[in-house]
Amino acid sequence: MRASSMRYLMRSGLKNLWNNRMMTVASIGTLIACLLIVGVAVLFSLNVDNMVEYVGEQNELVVFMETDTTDEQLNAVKNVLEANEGLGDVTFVSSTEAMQTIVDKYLDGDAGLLEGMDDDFMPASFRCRIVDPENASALKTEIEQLDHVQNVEAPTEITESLVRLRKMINVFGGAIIAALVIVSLVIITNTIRASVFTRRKEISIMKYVGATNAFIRIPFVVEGILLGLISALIAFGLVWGGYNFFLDIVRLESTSLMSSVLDQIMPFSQLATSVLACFLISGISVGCLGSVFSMRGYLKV
Amino acid sequence: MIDLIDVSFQYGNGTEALMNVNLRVNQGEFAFVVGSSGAGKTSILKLLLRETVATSGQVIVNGFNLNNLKNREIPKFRRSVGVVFQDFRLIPDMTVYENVAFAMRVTDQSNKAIRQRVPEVLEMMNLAHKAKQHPYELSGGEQQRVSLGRAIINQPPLIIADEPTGNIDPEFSYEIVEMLQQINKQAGTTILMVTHEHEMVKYFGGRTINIESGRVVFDDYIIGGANESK
Repeated sequence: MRASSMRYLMRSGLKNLWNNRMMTVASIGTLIACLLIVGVAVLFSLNVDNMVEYVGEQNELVVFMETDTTDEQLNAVKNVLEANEGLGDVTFVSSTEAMQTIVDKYLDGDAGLLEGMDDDFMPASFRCRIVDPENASALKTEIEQLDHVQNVEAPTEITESLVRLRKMINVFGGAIIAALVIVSLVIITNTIRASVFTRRKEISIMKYVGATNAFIRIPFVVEGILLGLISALIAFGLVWGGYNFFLDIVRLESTSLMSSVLDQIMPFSQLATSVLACFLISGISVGCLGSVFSMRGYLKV
Repeated sequence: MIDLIDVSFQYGNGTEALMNVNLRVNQGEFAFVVGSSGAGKTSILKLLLRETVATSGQVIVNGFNLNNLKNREIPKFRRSVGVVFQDFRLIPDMTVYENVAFAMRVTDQSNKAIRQRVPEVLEMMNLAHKAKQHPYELSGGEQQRVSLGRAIINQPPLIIADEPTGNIDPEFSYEIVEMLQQINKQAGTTILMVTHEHEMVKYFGGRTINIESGRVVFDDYIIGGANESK
């Protein structure tokens, strides 16, 4: 196709938008609303993902060994732990080191209070990072079965509730997004159908003089894409402003206790690219699909 | 060139619109198709423009066998036929110039070709001074000339005119037919004009095909009053 033809078709698409401006405004408004809801769902779920990951990083699984375990037996357990793909960064803490930690942390370095205690008063332990918080409780049960392991401590409750929350958000978010995609498609299809309808005479003449279907479709596809694009950009701006506004409020209201959790809320700059990409892709593809749907029936002459 | 070989056409509801029609219009001919309403004229047009396909028999137009024309070949076929309708079918928000240029634009032709060819055609149709006006500012006869300009702009070997004088005052009707005759003589364009105005056919004369109840009942040359008086 010639560049001049392409320009002509683009202009026709723009003209369509302007000629049906009431419908254009209505559908852009609806699309923005849909995208905003999608945006909130996506931002929420990204943040929860981030928090789950953060909590996972903070959480260690600690394997306490029985007091009379020999070095060989300790090594055997260490090998098993290191070989486990669900765990990372396995470090050994001996009885003496554990005792020293208590002295430093709780007794202000005054070892005198613990005088007379056996050297192995504190059990030796392995500290391991949990790779995927979702597996915490399974790992705990698994490692407890090992020989010479006294007990295993893992913060299973917090992680599990976060993981449950994440799953719920993903399922609900997915359902909401699917519903909104359908709503947006219907809206766009209707808007473009209106402009197809007002131009049906033109379309039939195009058919009679031998324009190809692709050629006839382009102005309407341009119209759909522009609707999607405009909506995506406006929605992106609104989400940006809204998110920062929300963050400011939360930060002002928060107490120091909550602040470490709130610090995990990601700044918008970190999310901007994915939000924009998500909006543009969904806006443009919904626009494209809508225009293709709305042409059905009008190309048969 | 048009060739209908033993063509029958039946509507979905079972109505027989055409029965065993045989018709041949050679390259460069000018033919009138007459008949009362419901006789099958519209059905023939629909077949010739490949809006529908014959129930049986063969329809060949400009070398395209329309019975087994693939969907993607339809545009190519339609570019070889210029169509003029009774209701003009001009686009109201486009100027005369744009309406004529439209047929070139939507068939992907260069701006240069458009700028060169459109004024030529407007001149030929006596519309040069109306180029910037819109269809609603024109008389019926002028509108039909715009539509004729759009039909010939891509220089098709065949023009099909469906009651082109039906919506025009009688004094301008003859002008349209004269223009069609002129195009026929100058460019050798085959012209098939459907009409129910018997008086006009008698005046111009020439090959006349009469269709009644889905059959060709008359197909011969008649001598027109215009020629007799000369």
